[in-house]
Amino acid sequence: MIEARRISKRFQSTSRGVTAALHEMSISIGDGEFVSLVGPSGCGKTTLLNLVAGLERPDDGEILIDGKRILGPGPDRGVMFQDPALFPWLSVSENVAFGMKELRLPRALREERTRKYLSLVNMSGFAKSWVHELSGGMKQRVALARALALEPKTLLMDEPFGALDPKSRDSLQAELVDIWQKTGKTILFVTHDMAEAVRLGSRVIVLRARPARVACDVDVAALLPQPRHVDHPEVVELAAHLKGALDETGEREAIDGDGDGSERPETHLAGGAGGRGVAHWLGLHL
Amino acid sequence: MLAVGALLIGWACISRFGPWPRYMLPGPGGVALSLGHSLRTGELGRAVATSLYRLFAGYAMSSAAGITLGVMLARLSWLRAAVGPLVVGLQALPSICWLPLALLWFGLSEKAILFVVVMGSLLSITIATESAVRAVPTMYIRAARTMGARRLRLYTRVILPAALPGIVTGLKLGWTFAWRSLMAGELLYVAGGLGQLLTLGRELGDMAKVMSVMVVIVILGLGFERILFGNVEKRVRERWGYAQAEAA
Repeated sequence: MIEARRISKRFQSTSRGVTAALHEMSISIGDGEFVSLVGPSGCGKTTLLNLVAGLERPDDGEILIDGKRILGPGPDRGVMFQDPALFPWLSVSENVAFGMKELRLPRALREERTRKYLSLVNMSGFAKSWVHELSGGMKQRVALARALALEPKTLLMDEPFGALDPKSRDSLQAELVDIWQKTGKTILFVTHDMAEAVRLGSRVIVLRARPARVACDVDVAALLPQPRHVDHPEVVELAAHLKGALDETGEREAIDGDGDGSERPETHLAGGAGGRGVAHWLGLHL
Repeated sequence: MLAVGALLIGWACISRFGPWPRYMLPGPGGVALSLGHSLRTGELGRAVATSLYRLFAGYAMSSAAGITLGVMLARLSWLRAAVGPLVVGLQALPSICWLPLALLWFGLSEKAILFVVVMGSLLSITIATESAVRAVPTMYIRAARTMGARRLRLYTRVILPAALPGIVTGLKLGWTFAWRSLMAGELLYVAGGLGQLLTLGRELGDMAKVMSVMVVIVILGLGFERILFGNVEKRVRERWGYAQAEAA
């Protein structure tokens, strides 16, 4: 159980003075949930993830995991970033074993888990490869294995598939859902791609920016069963409606128009009735 | 090989037909003879051993100190503000300029020459290490922290390895500077070593000896720089994925 209670985070920048990335936000995530956190850039979704990861501290409020306050990074939370951040001086298997070595796990256990998680992400054949020999998708697979190897209860993922080609992204999305179903981990998945959020999450939390707050919170699992696909009409439709909900709150520049979204043109969804609200759509389909 | 051959022939021709008498500019044959002679008497071997010992000792000290100082400068902003400009300024000073001070401080001893060697290479290693550490992607550090790496382990397992390609380049540069500083120091005063052999040759008017020592200095310098550092640098850059990025 992850509980964020009225957390605020401000950043000092030389050009714009103090900006509030998060203002008194409260969110709670239950065990085993797969939460997609989606919103335009500047909505504080990455900040929220960094706070849960313990990489940053909130200025106000507190975040609890199973009732305990987060004071820093910990092996109970595995983190994956958009940049795979694999260490090029280590082989693939040494990368996967990095955290286990920090935890001083015995060698036999390290080797066993390295094998197990490399095979889980379909990278068994690359244990001895060097990082520079891998493609972008393969690197993210290894990064996923590295995060899983510490067997964390929670996986925190910050746009991990954002820089991948559509094909790799598609297969990694399917594998992630598969791994989630097999392991029952709690996953917090940050993305700015609404279709990806809907395709993956058992629950989608849409944030809006300035001031950052929750625009809507949808229990997708109750509406659309897995396996879903980004091209499924229901996924496309729900994504469009959620985007519509954001647009209604005056966040047109949002989601895809914002520089960091422009690299992914396939996330532009045609159609969708911006005027109709999510509640209306949900009402029609339930 | 062809270039070396052409060079030797050119040298022989100038020596024979050039404006200088043979004793002023001996040909390759004379130099080779002199080289053979000093090898047989053991004079050259002793000089090489003395010089290399000084070089390794000074270089080891300046590498250890330079890497430590470089990492500290990169990670401690107050230290950078305090001594950063001093480091850059002093690096512009040829290390042989430290010799008068070194002689006052340490007397006519091995310490004085080691000091000059250390001052010659320390700051270039420091500066290279500092910029390499500052260029370590913050992503590596964040990822390592989420996996439990903290404090000293963060340095030994992430920051130093990530900075290694830049540090190796600095070490190579430092080696070259250390070698030059040593030769300048030995040439000026110190007993033993290749530099002193050069001075001896000059005093005896034995240009063949002078040139044979010069050849040895070039071979030693190039050998270490190209073969040792060149290979290490190449392998590190390949492993770290830089070579590929450059080729692309």
